[in-house]
Parts: sequence; structure tokens; C-alpha cells
Amino acid sequence: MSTIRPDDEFTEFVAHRSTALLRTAYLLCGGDRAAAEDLLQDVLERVYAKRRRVRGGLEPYVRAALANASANRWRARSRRVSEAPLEHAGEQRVGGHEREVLERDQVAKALGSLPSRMRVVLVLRFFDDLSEADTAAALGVSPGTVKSQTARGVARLRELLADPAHEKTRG
Amino acid sequence: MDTTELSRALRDATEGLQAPPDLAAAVLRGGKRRRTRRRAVLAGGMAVVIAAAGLVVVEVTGSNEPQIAVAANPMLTAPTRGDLAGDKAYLDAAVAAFDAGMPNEPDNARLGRPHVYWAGTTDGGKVAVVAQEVELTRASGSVSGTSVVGLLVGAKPVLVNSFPQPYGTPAKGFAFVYGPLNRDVIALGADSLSISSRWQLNPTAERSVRTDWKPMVKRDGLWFGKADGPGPVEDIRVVTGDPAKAGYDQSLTMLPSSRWALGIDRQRKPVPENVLRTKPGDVFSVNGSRSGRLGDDIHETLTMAGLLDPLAGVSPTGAQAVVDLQGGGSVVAVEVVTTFVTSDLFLALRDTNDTITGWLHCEPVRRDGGGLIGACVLPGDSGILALAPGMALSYEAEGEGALPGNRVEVGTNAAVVPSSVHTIHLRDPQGRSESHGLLKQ
Repeated sequence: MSTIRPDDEFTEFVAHRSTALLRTAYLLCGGDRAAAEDLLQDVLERVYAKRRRVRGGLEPYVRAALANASANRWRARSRRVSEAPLEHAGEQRVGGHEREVLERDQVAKALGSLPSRMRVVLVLRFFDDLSEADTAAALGVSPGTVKSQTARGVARLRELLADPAHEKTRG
Repeated sequence: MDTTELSRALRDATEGLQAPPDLAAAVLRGGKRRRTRRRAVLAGGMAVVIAAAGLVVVEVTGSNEPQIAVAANPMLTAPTRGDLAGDKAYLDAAVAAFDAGMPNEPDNARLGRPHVYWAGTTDGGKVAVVAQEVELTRASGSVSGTSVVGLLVGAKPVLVNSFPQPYGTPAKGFAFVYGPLNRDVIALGADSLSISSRWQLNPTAERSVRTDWKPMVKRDGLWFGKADGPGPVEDIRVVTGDPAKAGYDQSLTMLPSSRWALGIDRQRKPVPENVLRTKPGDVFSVNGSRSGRLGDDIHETLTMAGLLDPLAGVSPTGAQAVVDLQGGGSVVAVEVVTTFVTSDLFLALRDTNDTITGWLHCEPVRRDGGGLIGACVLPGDSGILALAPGMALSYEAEGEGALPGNRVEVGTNAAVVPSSVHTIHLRDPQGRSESHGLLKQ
């Protein structure tokens, strides 16, 4: 095993926080794990170059960068054909552990069907536990925008998860 | 689905998701590649500019592949070191004491068995350093692995200190301070260590530095040192590398056992209690000064001026007294805690934009039980600024034509008196009076 360079905060940070950050990226990417890994690596590589200029904690900075990069990335992806439409996800009947996994997948995929900014707001607010003010600061928008996006996003998510197609997987 | 359920659903959705083990290495490789490319582009652009001037000098800095580790803390698995490594009874007692003494915090689940990394005899008695893996649940719900290192002392070991190995923070290394009078130091996580026991302000020196650095000794994987004593444990510092060049980034996190009960944050950032004689929020505008109070750069600029210990990290400030200067600009006297147990009165020199242009050390804050905090001789023979919150200040007029006992009232809380005045008289709201010499203490 190689050794940790004691003076490298970034190395230590990546080594210890990459799993937590990947989870955020996974939700930001609507449950696409490969995209999440690409997104995280891309963002971390960019942050590496400017790590010494980052004021405050590295982790909030990286999370904000992830959120903003995911919105841009999603806009680029949206121009391509969707790989797994949400409405098809619930067609198979499964039970037990498989059903649980599928239900988790549903939440991530439902997130993925939201507009990018709305999705990012929900992830920062309810997964990363950021306040409205911190979410607004991370995204460079007003707290009012965060509040309205949150309300609309939760309502939309509720609709998506209550879709009858989704209900088929239960029981 | 309400927002609480949404939070839970999002956590469930990511449960079990782990970063690829090679992600960290890939990120650093990619980051280095990007940096090298960017430098090459910048150097190329610079070469064009320089070539136009008749010189071509292009240097692209080579990059060393970073060494990283994503494995668990090696302290958890390394064979026990130290002269008591073979004393099974002592090791078992240390593990039992660690288990019994370790705080069980709700979000910090300790995993597996504690492991004795080091056990031996030191100047401060028998010591064991014990580590254990911890599963830490963050506020976001994400879970990450870390470890906690504990210090146990005594023939019948007792846990006296602990420190969670940090993540997402600079891996600075840390030092436990323990033993009689808190003079013994065990450090780990950094190399080439030196120890200093005190930093003292020298009013006559241009810059104050720690002059008592001693090399620490490495023994079986740990670094050992002893502070000269007695003295406040909060003044002890350990740095890595050349002490003469060491700044805050080179100083280790100091963890006095005597402050363990206050928590990690209070151990490593020892804010002095009951040292300030003045209230931090008080600002006294002398003679109707309209200049503003000092900003957030007191610590930074005092350190740059060599008047504060750069390794201290925390230097609370007290009341300020602002005086406008006749030639423009202003001065501000402020009480600053310079060491853990003392405070001093400093004078900030400012230009007309309230920007600090320099600092003067006035005197150590007086602790004679009287109302006078201290006095500062103002530049340019502008008089003497005396600081005495809550008191009415006056002096006795002297010189030709002055009558004995002819008091001149100059204000309350703080006031400027002529440079020729040697004694200041104070009167509190109850009418009690006292007199103080203005000669520098």
C-alpha cells in the first residue's frame, strides 16, 4: 500500500469523501451510476487545479461544483435519446429485495425526469441537508428561486412516484 | 411523500453505493494531467511573448505521480510498538480502558476491536496509544469510515484524550499533551518535529519569535517531547520541518489532556477565558472621533507585524478606543489576548481610509486591580491615550500658572491627555477615585 502525503489536503479529502460525493452525484445524474462516476471524476479533477484557492471547506465547494456541472451535463445529455424512460421502469413484477432495489431505483429515476435545476435543488436540500440560503448560494440563485423550485419539485416528484405504472411493482 | 420521507428515500436510493477504489488515484492523475496541459499552454503563450523580445525560456514543470491511499488507517493493523508491546496484561488493560472511557456518540459507531498501536514507558509515565475504526454518519446521511486514536496513561491505564483522525481537513498531524503539569507531548502524523513551550511578547524587539525550539525524538513510530515548564499548556506548539520557517500550516493540532472534557474543538482552539479585561463589543470614540472601528484583520496584521504568535490561531480582542489624528488618519487602541493567560494593549495606525498602516505595542494590560487598562503613547507627540472603561478620566494641570489640584476632566472610558502628564486620575460612578502612573509598565 502506498502512503498518504501528509501535506496534501486534497488527496486526503478525495480518499475519504469520494463515496459520499458519489452518492450525491448519483442522484444528480438521475440514478445513472456510470454518469455519476464520470461527473465526480471530472469535477474533482477541475477542483484539484484550483484547490489552493478554494475559500472555506473543500466539500461544500465540490458539492456546489457537482450541482452546477450536473445541470450543464444534463442539458447536453437531454439532447440525446433517453436511455431508460421512467414509464417503462415499473413494468416488471418483482418482490422482496429485488423490489426494494427497484423502488430505490424509481426514486433516482424520478429525480432524473425533473428539470435539471429542480433536481439539483431537491438533492442539495433533502440529501445534502443544505438550507435554502446555502442552496441558493451554491447555485448562484435567489432563495426565492430555491423555495419555489423546492415546492414544485416535491409536488412533481410526488406525482411521478404515485404513477400507476410505478404502483405495479408493489405487492 | 413529505420532505422527511423524500430525504429518507434519497438516502435509501444511494445505500450501498461505494466509490471505485481507484477513483482517488484516477482523479489525481487526471488533475495532474490537466495542470500540466494548462501550464504547457501558458508556457507556450509566454514563449511567444518572450521570443518577441529576443529570449526564449520555456519550462514546463514535471509532475510527480501522487501517492495516495484509500485503505484504512495503518495504525489499526500495525504490530504494537514500544517497550511494553510484549506486556499482554498491560495491552489488555489499555484496550479495556479505551472501551470503557471512549465516549459513545450516537453517530459514531466504533467497529471491531480497539488496537494498541504503541505501548511504552515515557517521562510522563506508562502510555498506550490505541486506535479503532469508526463508522461516521454525516448530517447528509452518508456514511464514511474513519478512525479514532486515544491516549491512555498510567500503570493502570486511563483514557485521557482522543482524536478522530480527520478527513476533508488538512492532514496536519496532531499532538497529545499529557503528564504532570501537562508538559509531556506525544505526536504522530508528521515528521521532523520540534517543540516550543512559550511565545512571549518582547516589547523592545521589532519582531517576536519563539526562541525555545527543541527537536523532538522519534521512538518506535511516535514522536516524543517535553515542554519546559511550568507554563500554560495552551502555549505549547509542535511544528514539522524548520521551526524558523514554520507557519500555522506547519503546526500540529495540539490536544491538551486537561481540556479533553471540553471536546476536540476546544482542545485545539483554546479560546482563553477570563483574560480580556474589556468587552469585545465596546468602541470608545475619543474627542468625537468619527473614524470607524477596526475590522476583521486585527489578528492578521498584528501577526504580519511580528506582534502576535503566528502559531496561536486564536487571539480574542477586547474594547477599542478610536482617536482621530490632527494630520489626518486615526489610531485605535485595542486589547488583544497575546498568550493564553495575558493580554496586551496595541495601537493600530491608520490612514484616512481607515486602512491599517502599522502597529505599535503599548503595554501589557494592567492587572493591578485598578480601573486603568493601559495607556498608549500616540505618534507625533499627539499625547497619551488612556483606556479605562466605565471611569471618568482627569489629570492635574501643571506648568506655569496652574494651581495645585486643578483637575482637567478629559472624558469617560478613554481619553487623550498631554504627553507631559505622568499621572491619570480615575473616578468610578460611585465617586471612588484612584490614580495611576502613565509610565510604561
